[in-house]
Amino acid sequence: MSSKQNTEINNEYDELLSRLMDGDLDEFSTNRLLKRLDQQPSLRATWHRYHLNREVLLGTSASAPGLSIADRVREELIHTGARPLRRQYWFKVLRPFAVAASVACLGVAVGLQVQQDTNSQSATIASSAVPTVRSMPVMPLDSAGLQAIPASFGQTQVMRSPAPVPIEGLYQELARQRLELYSQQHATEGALHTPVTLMTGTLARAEAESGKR
Amino acid sequence: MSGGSVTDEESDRLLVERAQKGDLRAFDLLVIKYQHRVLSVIRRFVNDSDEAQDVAQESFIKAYKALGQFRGDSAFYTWLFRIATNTAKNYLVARSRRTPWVDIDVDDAALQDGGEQLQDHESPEAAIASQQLELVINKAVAELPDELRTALCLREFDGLSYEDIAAIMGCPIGTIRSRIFRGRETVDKQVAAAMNGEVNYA
Repeated sequence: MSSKQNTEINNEYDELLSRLMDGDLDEFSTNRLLKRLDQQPSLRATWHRYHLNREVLLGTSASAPGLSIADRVREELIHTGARPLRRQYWFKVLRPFAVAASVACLGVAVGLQVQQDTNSQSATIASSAVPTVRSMPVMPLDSAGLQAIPASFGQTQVMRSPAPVPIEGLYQELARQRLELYSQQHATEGALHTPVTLMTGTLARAEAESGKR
Repeated sequence: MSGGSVTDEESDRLLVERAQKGDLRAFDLLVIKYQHRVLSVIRRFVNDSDEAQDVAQESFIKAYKALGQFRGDSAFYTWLFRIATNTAKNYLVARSRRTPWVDIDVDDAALQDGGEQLQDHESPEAAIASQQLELVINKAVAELPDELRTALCLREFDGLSYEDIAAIMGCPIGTIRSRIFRGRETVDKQVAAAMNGEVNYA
């Protein structure tokens, strides 16, 4: 390859550098340029000078022609073999699903816990409110309709009355009510068959006079 | 002029995407591009030139390792300068030195003219070389043909896109692209010669 051809090729890549500076380079040309950097190290120097010239023209930083930070960084990175820690794109994609799954699991767990609490609470209430007694296989009769209730072995739930009253008290109360009833009937019958006394006659007359007025 | 135009960000995006995939050449171009500005920021915290360069090197290596976390929410240079600032502060804490009493904003540090402050810390030889380089560049730009100089200045000073420059100058975009490149190439030849000692600055 002649020197003229070499110069033309070098100029071509220099122009690509110029366009890259201005953000005018497409992806394909950028890849071409980056690959060429390995074969043509002078491109690094040209890139350096292009930016140095720009910095000086704009006055954005001091011009230090011999600055070698880039060389040192490059050597260090090659020597240590450091690579950028890549973002985990799969995690980014799966993150919404992971969040949804977590929320669903949490909901299920909370639901199960609530259900378990409710069951245990109702079981506690039932066990305290409805005692179970061992019963013999008897055939009790319904007091109202004399309908047979099937008897069974094992546990039979018996509803507890809200205010248990002893049977002896019930008999006493019944006797007291009957006594009162007999007393009232006796007083009534007595009053109907007794002759009018002075006192009762006086009262009757007084009432009759007040009624006439 | 702004330190980061839209086209500049596009250029960074292309290189950052490749660097994130582990392309060291792309990151190398980013380091070359920003090493001067990063060093200027660090020199506001660290006076010593060698130490500042060490901190700058560490900043770039940290940035490369953390490049996977860069999501492009901000400009790359803003993200990079934040790393550089934190690295410089950590360096000072590690050395049990006082941090500067001025709180330097990253964006301000990136945009404002840091040349004068930096020159205060440079050696006399470096300062002379820097001034001479400025002379060469300004002279080379001034001697460019009108069409090249106009296109280059609209791009560098005003940060205009190729489309805007083409509209202003009434030329096709391809012509503007070529003019800007030829302008840069002409200036670069003189700068390269100056850096190789082939040009008498006087």
